[in-house]
Amino acid sequence: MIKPPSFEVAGGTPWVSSRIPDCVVRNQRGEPRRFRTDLIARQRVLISFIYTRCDGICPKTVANLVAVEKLLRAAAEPFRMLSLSVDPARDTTEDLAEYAQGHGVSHLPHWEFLVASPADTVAIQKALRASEPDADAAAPDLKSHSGMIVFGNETTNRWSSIAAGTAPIHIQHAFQTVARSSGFSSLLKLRV
Amino acid sequence: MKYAITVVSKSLEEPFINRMKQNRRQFVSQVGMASILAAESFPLLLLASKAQAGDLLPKLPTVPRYTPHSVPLPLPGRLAPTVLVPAPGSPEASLGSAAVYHGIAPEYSRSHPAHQPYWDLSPERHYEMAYEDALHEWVPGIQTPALGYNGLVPGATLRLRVGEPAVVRVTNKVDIEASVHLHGGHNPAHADGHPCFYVFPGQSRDYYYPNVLPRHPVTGEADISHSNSTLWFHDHANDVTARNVIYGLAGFALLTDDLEEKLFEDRILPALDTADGQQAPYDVPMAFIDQALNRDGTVFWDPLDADGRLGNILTVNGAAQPYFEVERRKYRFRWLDSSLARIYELRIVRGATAIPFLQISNDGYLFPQPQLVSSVLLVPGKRADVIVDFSKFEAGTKLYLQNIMQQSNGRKPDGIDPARPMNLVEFRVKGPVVPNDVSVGLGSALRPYTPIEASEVTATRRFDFNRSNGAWQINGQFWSPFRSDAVITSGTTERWILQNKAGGWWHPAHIHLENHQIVSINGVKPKKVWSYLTDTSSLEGNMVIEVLVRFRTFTGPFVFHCHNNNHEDMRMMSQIETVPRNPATGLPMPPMLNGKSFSVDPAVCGIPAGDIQANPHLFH
Repeated sequence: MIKPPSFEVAGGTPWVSSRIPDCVVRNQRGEPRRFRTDLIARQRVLISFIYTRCDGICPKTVANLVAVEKLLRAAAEPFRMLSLSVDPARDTTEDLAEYAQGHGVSHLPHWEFLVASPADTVAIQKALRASEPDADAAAPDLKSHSGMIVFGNETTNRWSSIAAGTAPIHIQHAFQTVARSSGFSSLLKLRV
Repeated sequence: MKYAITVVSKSLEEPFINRMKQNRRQFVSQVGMASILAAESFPLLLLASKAQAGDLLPKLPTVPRYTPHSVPLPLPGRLAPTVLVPAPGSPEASLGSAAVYHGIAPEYSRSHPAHQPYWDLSPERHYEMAYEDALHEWVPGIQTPALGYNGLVPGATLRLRVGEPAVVRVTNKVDIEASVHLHGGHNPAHADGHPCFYVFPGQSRDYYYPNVLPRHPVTGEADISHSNSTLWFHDHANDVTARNVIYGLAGFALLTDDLEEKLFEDRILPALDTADGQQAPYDVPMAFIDQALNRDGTVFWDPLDADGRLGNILTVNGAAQPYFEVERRKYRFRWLDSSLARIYELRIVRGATAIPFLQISNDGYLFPQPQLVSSVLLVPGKRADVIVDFSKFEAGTKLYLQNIMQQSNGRKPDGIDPARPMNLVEFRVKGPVVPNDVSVGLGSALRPYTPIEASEVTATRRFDFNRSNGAWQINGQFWSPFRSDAVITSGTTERWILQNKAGGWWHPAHIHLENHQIVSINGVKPKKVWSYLTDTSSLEGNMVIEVLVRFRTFTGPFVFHCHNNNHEDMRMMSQIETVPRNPATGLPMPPMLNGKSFSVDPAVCGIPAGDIQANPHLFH
């Protein structure tokens, strides 16, 4: 029996994870995943936004993430990386597999390249505030897609975001500080 | 274990839970049973039905019902001096020690090259301040879990004097990393509240405030124009500044020099201190925060709100819309925008009539003479000291301090609309006219002003604030604590051109270490009240501000950043480093951070090399 997910909390501001859509996404191996329950609940995650045909900021983002992944692994830090395609109309799971392979990370079980339906993609970005505030389109806007990495620890509701172009060592430290923190005492004391 | 929660003893936990129940009961009595049923089932219902829609960004809760102007304006007390044991700077309190893990600024040592004999002419004052969990009533009757310096919201006022060195031992008793910035201060890098110079949970840092004035670059005399009066301290830790501040971590620090004390003595300005060292009754600090509370009384907070968090409960010194009884005389109010993102246009009205008043400082720097104004613009971080004369109003008159700046989004204000005022404080005039009032008025001589001259400038720098794919950049670069974006020779003057290229968003630009003098705004000379010194310039949408800054006294890494706290946490920040001259050659010393090296002297950042804290730190 699966334990109840920790986003079910009483009182306070609804937790970030409580608003993350639990839609079905597929990873680069074609496997279906429930975005919230399978990938976010009880996890320490770094979520990035990319698309395989991007010749703008994505190559830098992924190159940076490759470096961050190595740093976190070297630090024996538990983490999971999720890279969501913001171009679901074109990106297939095969494209993502090729993309992951191209960056030499296709073998990593804790890094999943994901694609969702266009509507779910927009919903995920909105829930994580990873779209430009004015973007209200039904389909993701590729040009202004978020250059932020959203990261956090679902069990403590401590979340933050950081520019994906930031130096890898700084992303590593920011993530570790957030992920290892026991969170915000005043709120946690209120959890019955 | 289901959650990675800190272990909380039953005795600690229970009052919180009871408070929750109490808050909820109060809510029931106010809005009726139907709503509470909805509230009880709120999380599950919402999750089950709507979570798929992905539009569940938390909505600003409705304002709890309360009667405006039903509680008196809270007046923060003074932080009491103490004797620190072990003594600051002793081996037992040095970097890496059990008592004071983060140590004290290297400048504390009398053998440090920056330390001057005149720094120690007066006895040193000691204080203790702890980050503590607290319960606080932002709204009467609603107990809100909060964070406070020594458990108080706002923290007790720190009273400082130029020439009297002070050490504040700050202990972090909560489970979040911390850093204390003394905003408006001129202090060593170790004590400045750099966002990465942490006080880790369970640890302490000695903040050394020598309280010395910078020296004039030409005459070498103390630069009295640069003596600040109204400072404030607040949390400044990387990533969590906004969250820590909205939970209550802020307080006033009031600094005087001989010149200002003479103004008290000559009864030009109202006295600041009572005989027993408390806040005198006619000098009143007021800190403005727009708070928002969930139904259970907790602070409304979304950790991913990067636009700028706005609240809908207007509080002053931690209380929603208080009243303040005033005598028929002149008062000095020290107004502070300690909100995360709210911008205020403040005025005082009787009925619908705005009452002119005197502004005597910008960001705590006293003007040469008071300026007559009808309203004051404050952006987050900014202060304005004003004199309001209530003598001409009959006892029983009510006047209001109002905000007339409308704002529906944290990014920028909508504009001024006097037809939709928001009351902050209700002033209730009482008693007869007070005889022999203080004399401050138009033409009173306050603090002489020696301008920073363009002829002093040795370097001009441009800083563009822009936004790229949702991320903040300054000069096209992302924040890095490992890089200096400007290496500045200490003792020199620079011209900085600050340009907002981030669409229409507003960014209050706050420069640490030194104040600055605005030369022009969009190419035009600034209005009088902005033409003297400031430490936070309101960089409005697409604005260009040219400023002059003298960098002096202290060397090391300092930051400048946007003071919209949410933008700041999203790292709309840049790091500068002031370097000393080599006394032998007269040439600037190489910087500690040159873009290649990742190291800062552990004594300067206050984090021991090889630190094995649970929280990783930034400077190995």
